[in-house]
Amino acid sequence: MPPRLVLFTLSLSSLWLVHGCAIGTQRTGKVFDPALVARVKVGTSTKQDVLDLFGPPTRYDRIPGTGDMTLETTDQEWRARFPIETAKAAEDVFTYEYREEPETFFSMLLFTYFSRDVLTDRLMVVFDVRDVVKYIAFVKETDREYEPEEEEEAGE
Amino acid sequence: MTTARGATLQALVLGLASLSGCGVLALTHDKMLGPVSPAGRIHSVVVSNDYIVTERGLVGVGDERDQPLFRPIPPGFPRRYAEPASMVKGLRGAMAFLRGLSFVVWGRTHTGRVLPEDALTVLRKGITAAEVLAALGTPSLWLRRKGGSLMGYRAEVGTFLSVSLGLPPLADQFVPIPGLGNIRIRWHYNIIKPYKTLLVFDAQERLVAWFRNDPDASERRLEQEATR
Repeated sequence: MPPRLVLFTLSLSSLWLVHGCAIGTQRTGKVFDPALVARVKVGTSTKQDVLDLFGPPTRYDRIPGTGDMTLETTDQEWRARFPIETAKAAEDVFTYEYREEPETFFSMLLFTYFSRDVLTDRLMVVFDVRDVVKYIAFVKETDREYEPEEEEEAGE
Repeated sequence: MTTARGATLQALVLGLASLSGCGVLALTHDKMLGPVSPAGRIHSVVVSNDYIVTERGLVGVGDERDQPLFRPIPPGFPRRYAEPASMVKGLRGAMAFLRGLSFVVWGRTHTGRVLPEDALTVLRKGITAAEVLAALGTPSLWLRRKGGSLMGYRAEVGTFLSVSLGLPPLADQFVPIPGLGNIRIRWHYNIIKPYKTLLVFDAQERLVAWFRNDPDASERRLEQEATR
């Protein structure tokens, strides 16, 4: 058998070795405790309450609100420039996220299959100008349930 | 004998070289010859002076990679390259390599969840943004303006199929026909279906209108035509 043919056969057969599989999930953030979400009340809970429950948000936005802003000024020029009916107070939005990216990869003998999902549990809290909760929204896309952390036993 | 002596000398040099940098040799050099040596203080050149001592050990000031210093290994090599995030990147590189070798690649991607039909039954003109948020959850997009606002929900389902014909990698090196290895026919099918729901609110944040696309409509129509 010619050596070139041997090498060709060997290289073809070595393709059997080029295979692999990977199954994994990348997780970012912390799973939400539904009991904590239920404790946030519209019109009652404050920004500090939300921070105490969930900590610093994943994202913070300040957006134009829909409520009229009180202009505590008698300056006529200021009022002329910013009529009170068009002045809108900015509202803060806290967004908390827990993200999962489950991934499956399989490659065998020149065939590859892959699957990738991006799922996000997202909690959004909108505050009014008094830093009281105006809107709250929560969506759960992942299947992961909240598991409370075991409390450390107090030492003697 | 000469060969053995040469090998011993080489091993000794290599051993001393391994002790260089911030090792014993550099410190000895700096202590004994530093003031008069043309190399100056080797230790400070190797490990730099731009570091602070923290709980994690010596940490460079600023971006460690920006320091133009000679180092035997990249700074923070074990810490940066042994992190799980780095391993994921390496794994993704290996996956891309295997995918490039494959003649048939089939895959699917999902981003987000499609809004269920029953959740949309609550939508009617005049309901407030709070009611919409309670029914549909957090939107993917919320554009708020003085005159009104837009709320969007989105999910994407992707399908990927690629088939290529040609000589396998490496095998083309052994076929005595010039250029044959460069000939490859590849067919791609990549479709991403976006499922989008858009809600329009007025200045008082009451629902004015809502729209939803139906990316499966064309497929259903084709199936219906086929069954006729």
